[in-house]
Amino acid sequence: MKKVLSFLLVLAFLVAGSAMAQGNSHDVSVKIPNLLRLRIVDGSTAAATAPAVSFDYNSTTALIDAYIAEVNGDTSAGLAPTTVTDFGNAIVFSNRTSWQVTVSATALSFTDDVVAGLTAAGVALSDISIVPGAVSGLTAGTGVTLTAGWNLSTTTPIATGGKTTGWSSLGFDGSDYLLTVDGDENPGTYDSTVTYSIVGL
Amino acid sequence: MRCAFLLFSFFTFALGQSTKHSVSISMPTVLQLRINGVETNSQTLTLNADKQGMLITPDVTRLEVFANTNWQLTVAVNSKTKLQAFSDLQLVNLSPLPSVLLSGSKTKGWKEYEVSYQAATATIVEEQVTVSYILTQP
Repeated sequence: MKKVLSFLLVLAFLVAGSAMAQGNSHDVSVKIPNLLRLRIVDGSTAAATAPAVSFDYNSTTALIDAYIAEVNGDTSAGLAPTTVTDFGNAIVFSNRTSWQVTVSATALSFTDDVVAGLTAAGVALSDISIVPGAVSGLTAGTGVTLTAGWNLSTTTPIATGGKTTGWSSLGFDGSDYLLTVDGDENPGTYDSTVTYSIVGL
Repeated sequence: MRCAFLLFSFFTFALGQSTKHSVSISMPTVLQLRINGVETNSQTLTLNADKQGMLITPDVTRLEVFANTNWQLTVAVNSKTKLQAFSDLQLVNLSPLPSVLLSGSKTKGWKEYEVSYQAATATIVEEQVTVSYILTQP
Protein backbone atom coordinates (compact mmCIF):
# COMPACT_ATOMS: atom_id res chain seq x y z
CA MET A 1 0.00 0.00 0.00
CA LYS A 2 2.81 2.35 0.88
CA LYS A 3 4.52 1.62 -2.42
CA VAL A 4 1.35 2.30 -4.29
CA LEU A 5 0.90 5.68 -2.59
CA SER A 6 4.50 6.69 -3.28
CA PHE A 7 4.09 5.74 -6.92
CA LEU A 8 0.93 7.78 -7.23
CA LEU A 9 2.59 10.79 -5.58
CA VAL A 10 5.55 10.72 -7.98
CA LEU A 11 3.15 10.32 -10.88
CA ALA A 12 1.14 13.34 -9.74
CA PHE A 13 4.28 15.50 -9.59
CA LEU A 14 5.29 14.43 -13.04
CA VAL A 15 1.86 15.18 -14.51
CA ALA A 16 1.65 18.52 -12.76
CA GLY A 17 5.15 19.50 -13.85
CA SER A 18 4.39 18.57 -17.41
CA ALA A 19 1.10 20.49 -17.50
CA MET A 20 2.47 23.78 -16.02
CA ALA A 21 5.46 23.96 -18.36
CA GLN A 22 8.08 26.58 -17.57
CA GLY A 23 8.23 30.41 -17.67
CA ASN A 24 10.62 33.38 -17.56
CA SER A 25 9.96 37.08 -17.06
CA HIS A 26 11.55 40.54 -17.28
CA ASP A 27 10.61 44.12 -16.46
CA VAL A 28 10.05 46.72 -19.11
CA SER A 29 10.53 50.44 -18.50
CA VAL A 30 9.77 53.30 -20.84
CA LYS A 31 10.99 56.81 -20.15
CA ILE A 32 9.56 59.55 -22.30
CA PRO A 33 11.58 62.77 -22.29
CA ASN A 34 10.00 65.99 -21.21
CA LEU A 35 10.10 67.91 -24.49
CA LEU A 36 9.48 71.58 -24.86
CA ARG A 37 11.53 73.02 -27.69
CA LEU A 38 11.33 76.24 -29.64
CA ARG A 39 13.47 77.18 -32.61
CA ILE A 40 13.81 79.79 -35.29
CA VAL A 41 14.73 77.87 -38.40
CA ASP A 42 15.34 78.42 -42.07
CA GLY A 43 14.63 75.56 -44.43
CA SER A 44 15.05 72.70 -41.96
CA THR A 45 14.32 71.89 -38.34
CA ALA A 46 17.85 72.79 -37.29
CA ALA A 47 18.14 75.96 -35.25
CA ALA A 48 19.17 78.93 -37.39
CA THR A 49 22.61 80.31 -36.56
CA ALA A 50 21.97 84.04 -36.82
CA PRO A 51 18.37 84.90 -37.59
CA ALA A 52 17.85 88.58 -38.28
CA VAL A 53 15.21 91.03 -39.43
CA SER A 54 16.37 94.33 -40.89
CA PHE A 55 14.48 97.48 -41.80
CA ASP A 56 17.17 99.43 -43.64
CA TYR A 57 15.30 102.38 -45.09
CA ASN A 58 18.47 104.41 -45.44
CA SER A 59 20.24 102.38 -48.11
CA THR A 60 18.64 103.47 -51.39
CA THR A 61 16.64 106.38 -52.75
CA ALA A 62 13.72 104.06 -53.43
CA LEU A 63 13.65 102.94 -49.80
CA ILE A 64 13.89 106.51 -48.53
CA ASP A 65 10.97 107.36 -50.82
CA ALA A 66 9.06 104.39 -49.40
CA TYR A 67 9.67 105.75 -45.90
CA ILE A 68 8.45 109.21 -46.97
CA ALA A 69 5.33 107.75 -48.58
CA GLU A 70 4.58 105.75 -45.46
CA VAL A 71 5.00 108.74 -43.14
CA ASN A 72 2.92 110.87 -45.43
CA GLY A 73 0.11 108.34 -45.24
CA ASP A 74 0.22 107.42 -48.92
CA THR A 75 0.20 103.73 -48.04
CA SER A 76 -0.33 103.44 -44.26
CA ALA A 77 0.46 99.76 -44.57
CA GLY A 78 3.57 99.74 -42.44
CA LEU A 79 7.07 99.16 -43.68
CA ALA A 80 8.15 95.63 -44.53
CA PRO A 81 11.59 94.30 -43.62
CA THR A 82 14.19 95.06 -46.26
CA THR A 83 16.17 91.94 -45.36
CA VAL A 84 15.26 88.73 -43.53
CA THR A 85 18.12 86.36 -42.75
CA ASP A 86 17.86 82.79 -41.44
CA PHE A 87 14.28 83.25 -40.35
CA GLY A 88 12.01 81.10 -42.49
CA ASN A 89 9.85 79.77 -39.69
CA ALA A 90 9.46 79.45 -35.93
CA ILE A 91 8.75 75.91 -34.81
CA VAL A 92 7.82 74.22 -31.57
CA PHE A 93 8.07 70.61 -30.36
CA SER A 94 6.08 69.64 -27.28
CA ASN A 95 4.77 66.51 -25.70
CA ARG A 96 3.31 68.51 -22.85
CA THR A 97 -0.40 69.08 -22.68
CA SER A 98 -0.09 72.78 -22.15
CA TRP A 99 2.50 75.48 -22.91
CA GLN A 100 2.75 79.09 -23.92
CA VAL A 101 5.15 81.25 -25.88
CA THR A 102 5.99 84.82 -24.93
CA VAL A 103 8.09 87.47 -26.63
CA SER A 104 10.53 89.94 -25.15
CA ALA A 105 13.06 92.34 -26.59
CA THR A 106 16.01 94.27 -25.28
CA ALA A 107 15.73 98.04 -25.19
CA LEU A 108 16.56 99.57 -28.55
CA SER A 109 20.15 100.70 -28.76
CA PHE A 110 20.86 103.71 -30.95
CA THR A 111 23.74 104.51 -33.25
CA ASP A 112 24.08 108.04 -34.59
CA ASP A 113 25.48 106.85 -37.92
CA VAL A 114 24.43 110.00 -39.73
CA VAL A 115 26.64 111.92 -37.28
CA ALA A 116 24.03 114.54 -36.66
CA GLY A 117 24.48 114.65 -32.90
CA LEU A 118 21.15 112.98 -32.43
CA THR A 119 19.84 110.64 -29.77
CA ALA A 120 17.24 107.90 -30.02
CA ALA A 121 13.74 109.20 -30.50
CA GLY A 122 10.55 108.20 -32.19
CA VAL A 123 11.18 104.46 -32.48
CA ALA A 124 9.69 102.13 -29.87
CA LEU A 125 9.53 98.37 -29.58
CA SER A 126 5.77 98.65 -29.95
CA ASP A 127 6.35 100.07 -33.45
CA ILE A 128 7.53 96.64 -34.58
CA SER A 129 4.60 94.31 -35.00
CA ILE A 130 4.09 90.80 -36.31
CA VAL A 131 1.07 89.76 -38.33
CA PRO A 132 1.38 85.97 -38.54
CA GLY A 133 1.16 84.59 -42.04
CA ALA A 134 0.39 87.97 -43.62
CA VAL A 135 3.35 87.79 -45.95
CA SER A 136 4.78 84.32 -45.35
CA GLY A 137 1.47 82.52 -45.77
CA LEU A 138 2.44 80.26 -42.87
CA THR A 139 -0.25 78.88 -40.61
CA ALA A 140 -0.14 77.47 -37.10
CA GLY A 141 0.59 73.75 -37.10
CA THR A 142 -0.70 70.83 -35.04
CA GLY A 143 -1.14 71.64 -31.38
CA VAL A 144 -0.52 75.37 -31.81
CA THR A 145 -2.97 78.16 -31.15
CA LEU A 146 -1.63 81.50 -32.30
CA THR A 147 -2.86 84.99 -31.48
CA ALA A 148 -3.80 87.26 -34.35
CA GLY A 149 -0.78 89.48 -33.93
CA TRP A 150 1.57 91.11 -31.47
CA ASN A 151 4.32 93.66 -31.19
CA LEU A 152 7.69 93.55 -29.49
CA SER A 153 6.38 95.07 -26.28
CA THR A 154 3.53 92.57 -25.93
CA THR A 155 3.62 90.87 -22.53
CA THR A 156 0.75 88.39 -22.93
CA PRO A 157 1.41 85.00 -24.57
CA ILE A 158 1.59 85.12 -28.35
CA ALA A 159 0.88 81.41 -28.69
CA THR A 160 -0.42 78.53 -26.61
CA GLY A 161 -0.80 74.86 -27.31
CA GLY A 162 -0.44 71.22 -26.35
CA LYS A 163 1.15 68.15 -27.89
CA THR A 164 2.50 68.94 -31.29
CA THR A 165 3.25 65.36 -32.40
CA GLY A 166 6.55 66.49 -33.87
CA TRP A 167 7.89 69.86 -34.95
CA SER A 168 5.03 72.23 -35.58
CA SER A 169 5.01 75.73 -37.06
CA LEU A 170 4.06 78.70 -34.94
CA GLY A 171 2.79 80.25 -38.17
CA PHE A 172 5.10 83.19 -38.78
CA ASP A 173 8.53 84.10 -40.04
CA GLY A 174 10.66 87.22 -40.40
CA SER A 175 8.76 88.48 -43.42
CA ASP A 176 5.63 88.90 -41.28
CA TYR A 177 7.30 91.70 -39.30
CA LEU A 178 6.11 95.24 -39.87
CA LEU A 179 7.46 98.63 -38.85
CA THR A 180 5.09 101.51 -38.13
CA VAL A 181 6.48 105.00 -38.71
CA ASP A 182 4.96 108.45 -38.36
CA GLY A 183 7.85 110.80 -39.06
CA ASP A 184 8.92 111.48 -35.49
CA GLU A 185 11.81 109.01 -35.80
CA ASN A 186 15.27 110.46 -35.40
CA PRO A 187 17.60 109.41 -38.21
CA GLY A 188 20.04 106.67 -37.21
CA THR A 189 20.15 102.96 -36.49
CA TYR A 190 18.18 101.19 -33.80
CA ASP A 191 19.00 97.62 -32.70
CA SER A 192 17.40 95.08 -30.42
CA THR A 193 17.53 91.37 -29.66
CA VAL A 194 14.17 89.65 -29.68
CA THR A 195 13.62 86.51 -27.61
CA TYR A 196 10.78 84.04 -27.91
CA SER A 197 10.41 81.79 -24.86
CA ILE A 198 8.30 78.68 -24.36
CA VAL A 199 7.23 77.47 -20.92
CA GLY A 200 5.08 74.59 -19.83
CA LEU A 201 1.94 75.22 -17.83
CA MET B 1 17.84 59.37 -7.62
CA ARG B 2 14.23 59.43 -8.68
CA CYS B 3 13.72 62.71 -6.79
CA ALA B 4 16.66 64.23 -8.61
CA PHE B 5 15.21 63.14 -11.93
CA LEU B 6 11.81 64.57 -11.06
CA LEU B 7 13.40 67.83 -9.92
CA PHE B 8 15.38 68.06 -13.16
CA SER B 9 12.25 67.31 -15.15
CA PHE B 10 10.31 69.94 -13.29
CA PHE B 11 12.85 72.65 -13.94
CA THR B 12 13.21 71.65 -17.58
CA PHE B 13 9.46 71.74 -17.86
CA ALA B 14 9.09 75.02 -16.02
CA LEU B 15 11.92 76.90 -17.67
CA GLY B 16 11.29 75.79 -21.21
CA GLN B 17 13.42 77.07 -24.00
CA SER B 18 14.00 80.29 -25.84
CA THR B 19 15.24 81.38 -29.22
CA LYS B 20 16.56 84.75 -30.31
CA HIS B 21 16.94 86.92 -33.35
CA SER B 22 18.22 90.40 -33.98
CA VAL B 23 16.19 93.26 -35.34
CA SER B 24 17.68 96.39 -36.84
CA ILE B 25 16.08 99.60 -38.04
CA SER B 26 17.93 102.20 -40.07
CA MET B 27 16.18 105.53 -40.45
CA PRO B 28 17.23 107.95 -43.16
CA THR B 29 17.73 111.66 -42.80
CA VAL B 30 14.99 113.25 -44.84
CA LEU B 31 15.13 116.86 -45.97
CA GLN B 32 12.99 117.35 -49.03
CA LEU B 33 11.46 120.39 -50.60
CA ARG B 34 8.66 120.76 -53.10
CA ILE B 35 7.88 124.00 -54.90
CA ASN B 36 4.34 124.08 -56.23
CA GLY B 37 4.15 120.30 -56.00
CA VAL B 38 7.43 119.58 -57.78
CA GLU B 39 10.67 118.48 -56.12
CA THR B 40 12.93 121.32 -57.12
CA ASN B 41 14.83 124.10 -55.40
CA SER B 42 14.23 127.14 -57.55
CA GLN B 43 11.49 129.17 -59.12
CA THR B 44 11.48 131.79 -61.83
CA LEU B 45 9.59 135.02 -61.21
CA THR B 46 8.68 137.53 -63.86
CA LEU B 47 8.75 141.17 -62.85
CA ASN B 48 6.76 143.73 -64.81
CA ALA B 49 6.26 147.36 -64.06
CA ASP B 50 3.12 149.23 -65.09
CA LYS B 51 1.28 152.33 -63.97
CA GLN B 52 -0.04 150.57 -60.87
CA GLY B 53 3.41 149.47 -59.82
CA MET B 54 5.35 146.25 -59.92
CA LEU B 55 3.69 142.99 -60.96
CA ILE B 56 5.31 139.78 -59.79
CA THR B 57 4.20 136.57 -61.46
CA PRO B 58 3.56 134.35 -59.68
CA ASP B 59 3.31 136.40 -56.53
CA VAL B 60 2.78 133.38 -54.28
CA THR B 61 4.73 130.14 -54.05
CA ARG B 62 3.51 127.01 -52.35
CA LEU B 63 6.38 125.31 -50.53
CA GLU B 64 6.23 121.87 -48.95
CA VAL B 65 8.87 120.63 -46.55
CA PHE B 66 9.42 117.04 -45.42
CA ALA B 67 11.97 116.74 -42.63
CA ASN B 68 12.62 114.30 -39.84
CA THR B 69 15.21 116.50 -38.20
CA ASN B 70 15.70 120.18 -37.46
CA TRP B 71 15.82 122.20 -40.66
CA GLN B 72 16.08 125.67 -42.12
CA LEU B 73 15.11 127.01 -45.50
CA THR B 74 17.22 129.75 -46.96
CA VAL B 75 16.27 131.85 -49.94
CA ALA B 76 18.33 133.85 -52.41
CA VAL B 77 17.76 135.60 -55.74
CA ASN B 78 20.02 136.16 -58.74
CA SER B 79 19.13 139.82 -59.10
CA LYS B 80 19.89 143.08 -57.46
CA THR B 81 16.29 144.18 -57.76
CA LYS B 82 14.96 144.87 -54.32
CA LEU B 83 12.50 142.10 -53.60
CA GLN B 84 11.05 140.79 -50.41
CA ALA B 85 9.75 137.34 -49.60
CA PHE B 86 7.52 136.74 -46.63
CA SER B 87 5.88 133.82 -44.97
CA ASP B 88 3.65 133.69 -41.92
CA LEU B 89 6.77 133.63 -39.84
CA GLN B 90 9.33 135.83 -41.48
CA LEU B 91 9.98 138.61 -43.97
CA VAL B 92 13.34 138.72 -45.68
CA ASN B 93 14.95 141.05 -48.14
CA LEU B 94 16.07 138.92 -51.06
CA SER B 95 19.62 139.18 -52.23
CA PRO B 96 22.22 136.91 -53.86
CA LEU B 97 23.24 135.92 -50.33
CA PRO B 98 21.03 133.26 -48.73
CA SER B 99 18.75 134.40 -45.93
CA VAL B 100 16.80 132.16 -43.59
CA LEU B 101 13.13 132.32 -44.47
CA LEU B 102 11.73 129.33 -42.57
CA SER B 103 12.92 126.85 -39.98
CA GLY B 104 11.44 124.02 -37.98
CA SER B 105 11.76 120.51 -36.64
CA LYS B 106 10.21 117.20 -37.64
CA THR B 107 7.31 117.81 -39.98
CA LYS B 108 5.79 114.29 -39.78
CA GLY B 109 4.93 114.35 -43.45
CA TRP B 110 4.77 117.11 -46.03
CA LYS B 111 4.13 120.43 -44.33
CA GLU B 112 2.89 123.29 -46.47
CA TYR B 113 4.02 126.89 -46.36
CA GLU B 114 3.04 129.84 -48.50
CA VAL B 115 5.57 132.43 -49.53
CA SER B 116 4.59 135.74 -51.10
CA TYR B 117 6.76 138.25 -52.91
CA GLN B 118 6.70 141.95 -53.16
CA ALA B 119 8.98 144.56 -54.67
CA ALA B 120 10.56 147.03 -52.37
CA THR B 121 10.81 149.54 -55.22
CA ALA B 122 9.36 149.76 -58.72
CA THR B 123 12.31 150.89 -60.68
CA ILE B 124 12.65 148.25 -63.34
CA VAL B 125 10.68 147.69 -66.50
CA GLU B 126 10.83 143.94 -66.98
CA GLU B 127 13.00 141.23 -65.61
CA GLN B 128 13.07 137.51 -64.95
CA VAL B 129 14.67 136.44 -61.73
CA THR B 130 15.37 133.04 -60.23
CA VAL B 131 14.61 132.51 -56.59
CA SER B 132 16.62 129.67 -55.06
CA TYR B 133 15.66 127.75 -51.95
CA ILE B 134 18.05 125.58 -49.98
CA LEU B 135 16.78 123.20 -47.30
CA THR B 136 19.47 122.20 -44.82
CA GLN B 137 20.05 121.20 -41.22
CA PRO B 138 20.91 124.30 -39.18
